[in-house]
Amino acid sequence: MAPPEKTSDAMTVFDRYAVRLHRDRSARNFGEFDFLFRHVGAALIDRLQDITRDFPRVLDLGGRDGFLSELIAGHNGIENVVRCDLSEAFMHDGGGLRVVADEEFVPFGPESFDLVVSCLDLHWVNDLPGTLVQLRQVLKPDGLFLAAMFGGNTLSELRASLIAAETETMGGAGPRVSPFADVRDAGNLLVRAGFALPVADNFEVTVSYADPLKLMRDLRGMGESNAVRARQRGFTRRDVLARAAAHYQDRHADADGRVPATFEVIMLTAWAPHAAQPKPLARGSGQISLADVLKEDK
Amino acid sequence: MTAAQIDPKLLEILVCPLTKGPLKYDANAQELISEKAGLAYPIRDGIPIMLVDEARKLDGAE
Repeated sequence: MAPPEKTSDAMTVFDRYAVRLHRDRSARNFGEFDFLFRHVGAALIDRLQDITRDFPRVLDLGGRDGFLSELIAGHNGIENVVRCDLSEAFMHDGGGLRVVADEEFVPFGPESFDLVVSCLDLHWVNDLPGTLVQLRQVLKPDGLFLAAMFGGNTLSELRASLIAAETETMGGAGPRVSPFADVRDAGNLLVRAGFALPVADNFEVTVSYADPLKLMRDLRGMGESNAVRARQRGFTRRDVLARAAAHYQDRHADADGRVPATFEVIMLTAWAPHAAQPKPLARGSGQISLADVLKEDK
Repeated sequence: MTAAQIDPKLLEILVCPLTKGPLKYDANAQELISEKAGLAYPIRDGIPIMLVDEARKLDGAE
């Protein structure tokens, strides 16, 4: 039974209770479905290795079974990793410092960490600006925030197929795939949250599946089932799913009948402000005219 | 079998997720108490559960 809903406002897109439930369920066999997390986690480690700095104290936000904490160990002078997740079921895996925490209510004091990492977690947060502000505050000055989250083009094939199927069978469509952030929005949010030197870029991962139903099973295994509040509760009707799978196959199958699923990953890098960081000069403080520079070049 | 203890390193950095105020560690009850929020967060198997939904309301708190 679902608990009574405490908040109802336009900002509350995701049902956090459902997010937690889906994660609890996925904890049992997460190792069978973690390939995408490991792939993106490796990309995060690559970014980290490009930075020649030590980060002794690390927060792994939404760390699930500890796949990222494991990958990150031994890099960049890391001494302690605190792994936190919304799901207590994940906390029984692996060792180390563990905390059950809600990303929307970060339970750490100011300047607790040198680095906050997060792999494919923040796309389930309702108040992303609020979470980013809290994460900046737990970082020491000149601490690094390094995160990967799903972007707007994620599961675009599935989204279109479900909408088509639902419109045909039910005369309308409800949200079945999460809304995701856009790479431009993400960069702006970092600035608004008070981070310095923010960078947001993206890449796509295409996964090939035997058929669309296999993709849907995988999403459940990953703990990534739909948790949009306005979703229809209970199971998706069997005929809708079958129709959606048929649409998916028709539009996207290759010669062997396999179908692609697109995942867009947004990578975020930003720093907690510090006086020693490079900053743009104040407007109007330039001494040389650009026109002169261009002339001299001649 | 003795229950796992919370790591002192965590006690140094944890705050109440709701008020960001300090927490008092109750070793007997295995709870982290936020006076300001009137909540006691449970510690299970040495793992602090910092969720408002899982916290116990303190006596006298509304």
